[in-house]
Amino acid sequence: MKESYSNIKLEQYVLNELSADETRKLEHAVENDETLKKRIEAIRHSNTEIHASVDEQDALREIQYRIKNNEIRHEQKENNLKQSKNSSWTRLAYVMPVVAIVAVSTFMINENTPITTSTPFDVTEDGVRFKGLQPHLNIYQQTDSGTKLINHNAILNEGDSLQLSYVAAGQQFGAIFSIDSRSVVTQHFPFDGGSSVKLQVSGEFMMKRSYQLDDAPKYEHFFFITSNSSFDLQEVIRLAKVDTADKQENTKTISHLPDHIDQFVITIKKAGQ
Amino acid sequence: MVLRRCRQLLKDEARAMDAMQDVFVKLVEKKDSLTDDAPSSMLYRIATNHCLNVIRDNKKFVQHDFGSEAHNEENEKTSMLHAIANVSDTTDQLVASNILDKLFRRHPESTRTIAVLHYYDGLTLDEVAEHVNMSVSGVRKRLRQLRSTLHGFPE
Repeated sequence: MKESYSNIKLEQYVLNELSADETRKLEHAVENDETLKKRIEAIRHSNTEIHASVDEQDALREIQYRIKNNEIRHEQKENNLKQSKNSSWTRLAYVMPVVAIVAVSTFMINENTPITTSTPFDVTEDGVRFKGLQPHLNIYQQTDSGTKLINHNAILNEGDSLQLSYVAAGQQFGAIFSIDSRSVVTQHFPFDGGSSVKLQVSGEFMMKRSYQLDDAPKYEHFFFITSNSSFDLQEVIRLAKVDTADKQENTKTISHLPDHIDQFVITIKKAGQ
Repeated sequence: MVLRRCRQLLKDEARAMDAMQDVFVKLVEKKDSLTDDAPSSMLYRIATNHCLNVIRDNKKFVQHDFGSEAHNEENEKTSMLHAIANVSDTTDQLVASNILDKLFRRHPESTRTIAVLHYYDGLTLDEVAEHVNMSVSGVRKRLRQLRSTLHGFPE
């Protein structure tokens, strides 16, 4: 009776991961089973095709980027946890009236003001930003099973609903905008206006409005621009449009930003392109 | 192998590339709990589980009515895969709360992955058990739990 071999077993054979005994048995089976032989050849042929078509250096860079990005997010979570553990009733009593005043006044000033999911004040002992933490933008996709943090270069569909948040990591001023493959700019924060706005310096700051992806094809680049002083947002957007004018989907950074301005760029790719 | 597995389950080249990169990110992040035994087997399982999450989270992968409109074997398999992908993780949460698993820092294999290996890939219960390092009775029990949540799923 012929023994059946699963795909994973054949993969292990091609990778030389089977024991000597298993290898011997499989090779014996191959001699009398043309289908089995073709399945192994198909795996080898597929390996050759993948090596030829996938740029391994590109893939490696992308994987390293994602690992680094996850580390930053993890670090941020740890810091938020540390902050909440360090807080005492005394500190809370000190902060709460200020929170109340700012919350009420902010709400009165602009109904589009983002809500916050963590303490809006840096109440650590030294009041400085956490070492190693970089300003960054998080993009969450709203799915049927909840929200999901998406990766750089994630592939999404027209109509997908996104929620943006930023971590300023101590930077005082900033702005978030995106540019799609049609060079259409969408300002996410502030929603309008030509200047950067004051950021929440610590914790993760969640935008109140969600953003729905439209039918622009191929990609959309999201820019989170930060600085310790206010900057001309329209000038930054103009520079970003210049650098993305070639309409290529690989992620662009803005090349001629003044030294005091930092940028974080994350790209979303559109499905079916 | 990883890209091939992602292509097989997602049937979309760009998503498969994206998923493959995520699989390696997960691998690096889990490096402290890795062993040298059959790395391909583990990669295969991580890839399978990740692709199921991609299918579950993406509206592009329309969930088929299992067993009703499937006219050929490929449709049948795709329907089955989507049904498995959309199964609630309750079973896994119950398994993960097992005190022995906590004590020995074991990471129980996803029930959905076990189901894909058996129903989609056609591995026998013995092969699945060997692949996920579980007993045959453990695998059978997990599949029974999964079937109880999916109406019309094959025995």
